[in-house]
Amino acid sequence: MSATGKRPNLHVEGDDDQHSLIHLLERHGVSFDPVQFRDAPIKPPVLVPSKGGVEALIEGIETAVRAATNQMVGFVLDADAPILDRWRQVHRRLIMAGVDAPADLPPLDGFIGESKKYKATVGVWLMPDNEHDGKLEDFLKTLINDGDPLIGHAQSSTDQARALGATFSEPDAIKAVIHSWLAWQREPGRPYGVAIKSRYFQVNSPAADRFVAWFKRLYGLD
Amino acid sequence: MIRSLELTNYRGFEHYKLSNLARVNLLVGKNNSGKTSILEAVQLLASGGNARELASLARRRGELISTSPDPSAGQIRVYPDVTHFFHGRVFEEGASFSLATDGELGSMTTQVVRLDASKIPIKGDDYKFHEIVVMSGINLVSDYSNPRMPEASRRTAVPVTEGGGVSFEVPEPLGRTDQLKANGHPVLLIPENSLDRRLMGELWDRALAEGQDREVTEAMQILDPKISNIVFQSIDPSFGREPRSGILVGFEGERRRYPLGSHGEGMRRLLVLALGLATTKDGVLLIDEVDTGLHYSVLADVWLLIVETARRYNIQVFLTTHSLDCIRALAWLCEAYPELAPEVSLQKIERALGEAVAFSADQVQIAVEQDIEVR
Repeated sequence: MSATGKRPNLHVEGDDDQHSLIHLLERHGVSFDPVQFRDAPIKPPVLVPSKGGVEALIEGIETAVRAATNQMVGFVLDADAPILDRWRQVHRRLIMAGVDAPADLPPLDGFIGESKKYKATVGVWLMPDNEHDGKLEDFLKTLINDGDPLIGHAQSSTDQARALGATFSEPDAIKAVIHSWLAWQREPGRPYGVAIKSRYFQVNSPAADRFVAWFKRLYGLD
Repeated sequence: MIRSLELTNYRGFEHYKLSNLARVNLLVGKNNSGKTSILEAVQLLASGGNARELASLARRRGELISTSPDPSAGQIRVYPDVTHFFHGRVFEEGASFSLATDGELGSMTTQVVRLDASKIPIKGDDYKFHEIVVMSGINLVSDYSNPRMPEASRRTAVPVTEGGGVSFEVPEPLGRTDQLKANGHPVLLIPENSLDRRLMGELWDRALAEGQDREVTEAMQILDPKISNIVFQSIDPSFGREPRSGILVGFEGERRRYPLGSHGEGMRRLLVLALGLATTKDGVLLIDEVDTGLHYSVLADVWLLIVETARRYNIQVFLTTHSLDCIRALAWLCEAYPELAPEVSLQKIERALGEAVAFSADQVQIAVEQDIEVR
C-alpha cells in the first residue's frame, strides 16, 4: 500500500476533539504526516470532526462502517448522555452495521470489533474512559498534574462564578474549569491542541494511556 | 426496472450481486473493481443476450487477439477476444458465465460449446443484418430468457476460434441503436470518451423524429444559457474521417454557429448525455465516467437533468464515477429535491465482498456531511 492510498477514518465530535487527540497522539509518537509513511505498510487515520456534532456522528456510524471494507474505522464520543444511554445509542448502530458488541457497556480498554458483513474493523471510545459519564474535558483534566496549584483554584472559582450567576449549564462546568485553567498558563487561553503541544497538559494518565493503546491497536500502529 | 443483478463467473466476478437498485444507480469503486463490466453486463442483457454483442464490447475495450486462420498463407487477422468475459479467462468447452436480473431485463447464460454442423440445435435468430451462420467447432452459445416477455427468449450463437477470437464479421455501429432494442428495451452505453459523430447523429435523428430536439437544446443551456440551437450538418465533407466534426452550436443573438468542439469537452459530454436521455425512453442508459469533461459546478444541474428525465421517461440509469464532486452533487440533489431521493442509489463495487454495498440517498447525504469516503 502506498501513502496515496485510502487512509482509514477516526470520527470525532468536533474540532476540539480532533486537535486535542492529534496532539496527544503525536506526543505519544504517532505521526499523522502521510509523507513519512510513503513506504510503510501502515497508514495513520484521518481524524474527521463531525460537522453536526455528536448526533450526526452517531447517525453516520452505519454508513461509515458500510464504507470501510478492508479498513478500520473508529468513533470517539462523549459519554455525557449519560454513558449507558450513549452506549445504547451507539450499540444499536453497531448492530445495524453487523458488528457484535456488548450490550451493557464497552470494555474499559475501548471497544474493537468486526463487521463480518462489510469486512470492517470498528472501534469505539467513550470519553473520558469508557466507564464514567463525562466528556473530552474530563479526559483532559486527567492530564493535569494532581499537584497543580491552579486546577483547584479553577474549580473553586468556577463554582463561585456559578454562584454569582454565570449562565453556563451544569454539564458544561468542566469546560469552564478547563478554560479557566488555560487562561492562567504562560500563554493564556490557548486552544486544547496547542496547550497539549505546548506541554501545559501532561502526556500520560491512566485514561490517556488506555486511549492511546486503543488507538494503536485499532489502526495497527503498535 | 430491475432491482437486482447477479453475475456468475463473469469477468472479474466469480459471483457478485447488486441489490436495492433504484432508477438511477451510481457505481463507485477502485480502478479495476469492475464498474464498467457491470455496465456491459446490463447492456448484454438489454441487447437480448446476443452473443455477438460480446464481440463488439470486446472490440470497444481493445481486447483483441491476432490469429492466422490460414497459416500457409501467412495471413494474420485481428479478432475481438471474448475470453476476457469468462472469470479467470478460463475459455474451454463447457465454460460459461451467467447474468441474471429480477426484472424485465431477463437473464442469460453464455457457454462455450463444440457444435456439429450436421445436427445444429440452433434454429437461428432474428438478427436483422446477418443470417446466423453456425459453423462446426467452437461456438459461443447464449441462452436468453425473459419471463416477462417470453417472445424475447431465444438462443443465439457465434462461432469463435479455439483461442476465443470472434472471426464472424461484427456489424459496425450504423443501425446499432435499433439492433439493441432486440428485447424491446432501448439501451445505450456511453463510454468515457463519449460517442462518435455518426452515432450521435443517429441519436439526434431519433430525437428530431420524436420532437425532442428542443429538450436536448434546453439541457445544453446548463453549460451556457445563451445556447439557442444545435445543428448536425447533413453533408459533412469530412464525414467518417473526422468523427468529432459536423456538429454546430448556435447562440442567442449570434448569426454564426460554431463547432461543438470549440467549446470544450464538457459541451460534447453534455450533448451526448442529453441525447442519451432523449432516446432511451422506457429503456436503459449506461454512462461510464459520467462527469468526464464537466466542471464540478455544473454537476448538480447534470444530476437534476439525469434523475428528473429518467423518472419522467421511465429510464433506468447506471453510471460510474471516481469523482467526489460527483457524489457531493448527488447529495445536494437529494437534499434540494427530496422527491427525487428515492430514485437514487449509490452502489460501492467492492470485490472483497460478495455483493455491492448499496447506499440510499439518506446515507449518501450522511457520507458527504460526515466526510465518509464511499468511493
